[in-house]
Amino acid sequence: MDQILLEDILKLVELQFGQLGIKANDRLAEDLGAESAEVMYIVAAVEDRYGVVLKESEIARIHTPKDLFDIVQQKTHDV
Amino acid sequence: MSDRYHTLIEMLTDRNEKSGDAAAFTYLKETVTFKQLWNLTNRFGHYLMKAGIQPEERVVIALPNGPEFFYAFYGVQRAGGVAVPVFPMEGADRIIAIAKLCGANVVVIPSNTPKAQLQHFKRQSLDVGLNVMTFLESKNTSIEGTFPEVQSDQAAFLQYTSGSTGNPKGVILTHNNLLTNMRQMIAGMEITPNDVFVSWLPVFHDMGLILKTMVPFYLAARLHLLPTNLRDVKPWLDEIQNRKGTFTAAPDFAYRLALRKTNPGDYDLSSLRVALNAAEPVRESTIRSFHKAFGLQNVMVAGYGLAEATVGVSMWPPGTPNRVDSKGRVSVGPPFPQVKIAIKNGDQNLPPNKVGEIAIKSEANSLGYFGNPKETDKLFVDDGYLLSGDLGYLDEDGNLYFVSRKKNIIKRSGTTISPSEIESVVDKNPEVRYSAAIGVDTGRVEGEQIMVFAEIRNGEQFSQQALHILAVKIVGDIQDYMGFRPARVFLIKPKGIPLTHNGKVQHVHLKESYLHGILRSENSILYPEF
Repeated sequence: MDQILLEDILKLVELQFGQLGIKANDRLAEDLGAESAEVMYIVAAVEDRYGVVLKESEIARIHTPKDLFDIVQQKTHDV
Repeated sequence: MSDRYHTLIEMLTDRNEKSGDAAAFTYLKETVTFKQLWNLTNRFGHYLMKAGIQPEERVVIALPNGPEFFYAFYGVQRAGGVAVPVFPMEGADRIIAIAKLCGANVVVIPSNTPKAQLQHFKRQSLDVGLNVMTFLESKNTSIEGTFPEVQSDQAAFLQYTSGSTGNPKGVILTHNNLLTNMRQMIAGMEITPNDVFVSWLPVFHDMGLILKTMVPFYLAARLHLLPTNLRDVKPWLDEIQNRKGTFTAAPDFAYRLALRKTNPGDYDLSSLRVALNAAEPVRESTIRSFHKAFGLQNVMVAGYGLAEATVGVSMWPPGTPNRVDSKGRVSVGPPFPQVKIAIKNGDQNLPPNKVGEIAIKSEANSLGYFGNPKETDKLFVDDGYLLSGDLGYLDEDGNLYFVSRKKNIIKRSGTTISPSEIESVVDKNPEVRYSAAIGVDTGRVEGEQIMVFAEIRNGEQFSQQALHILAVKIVGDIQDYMGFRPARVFLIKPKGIPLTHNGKVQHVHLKESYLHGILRSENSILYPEF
């Protein structure tokens, strides 16, 4: 299992939104204009990258890149 | 249905005279009566004529859902012109490109466009001889005026649609095409003036415009229109519940989102008579889950249509159980009255249960593509049938099943996207050698997703950081031009995209390579590394 870096998650979010300089606490919907499908695209990319599967209830809690980082970190530690 | 309107203008005149005080539609909290709609349509029509609009001149309308759209759309027709609705979120460059394609001199944009942005757009357009205006600018114009006579065989609007290659094509729809298709759909779906329409579908696209707004205008049925906001599906379900909506329509993915993003137990949708599922492949599982979760029966029905036949071609009869074939395909029903469907292999008609190209004969069939005789010729076969570019078959009872698309196009949220249009944006980056955009449905809630592959010249010499910056720029470029972002972008080594001998991108082959992990196992992907 790769170690999870916040920096990597941020890169992934930057790539999704086509914007550099995204911060850990930027809000995906309000600040970055995410459509609901786009959150799913990011989740799919994270799942591919880290070999985890996020539950619906976990996805619902993702509002910022930091939330995503916390959930993925937690999940990889659980394994 | 005794009214036989010949033009949309005649329809609105009649609505004003017979039901002027009735609501034409509500949008959020605003209610607009048929009288207001008629007066403001006249006002804008008059304003356009003062601006020098000539009969049959095209006017681009880049407006989102809301009252202004209708004043502008019908105002253009009142002035004898041809409306050209476009996706309002896309960048100025693409709007200008469409205006050039259809020879428009005027573009209408929202009155609430921020001043700086409006000025910038006006300046940018002036350089190419385009006049950018807003509805608000017509505020001192009289609603009285002499308007040109509009004929039923005159084009009412052009529906731009993306083909697999080349420029978007403007499907010519006459007043007669539109009114004919409305009558076909009203009869086929048994729509009455008592139906209550609820819609968030974009009014700048055929299903949202024709089925969900023109049909209720035709019948003076209630229409509750919402903004097109795919970030939140709750207002849609709230509106159906609160207004006791009987008729809604959406592509399959929107119903899947509704199941996923809401708690169905919180809603009473029992007023629904029809929830049409159309504009992208219909999943049997969506219909089953939707019925089960919301406690409904035989409400969600699958439909089929295309812009070249105005919009609606067939639909499963509401109130009867869906039919599903052995491969899990949901039938999109028999054709609407006065529409004929044939399955063709070249000029030859195929018997039931044989897959071929879906072909349509109807008075609602378009005359062709604006200013594009070459593509128009390819659209029809000798016996007058229009070729849809879709593959399907008819069962013994004459019910249609959609199998796949013949053309290489991508369906995103129910609208058609041309891979070549995305590729031309990506190819503008000097580092990019070739690019390819494909639509991939991985079976998840989002439906077909757009994936972009770009071959990078000397890509192996780039640092990971440089590749990251380039990939982010490509996503940003697509967003700026198309108004949406792709699901994934991959930067790959030169020669990673399969080409034919003539150098044409083999999209199907690329999709297979991606889905089977071949690109990854061959180490073709430079970035990102997952």
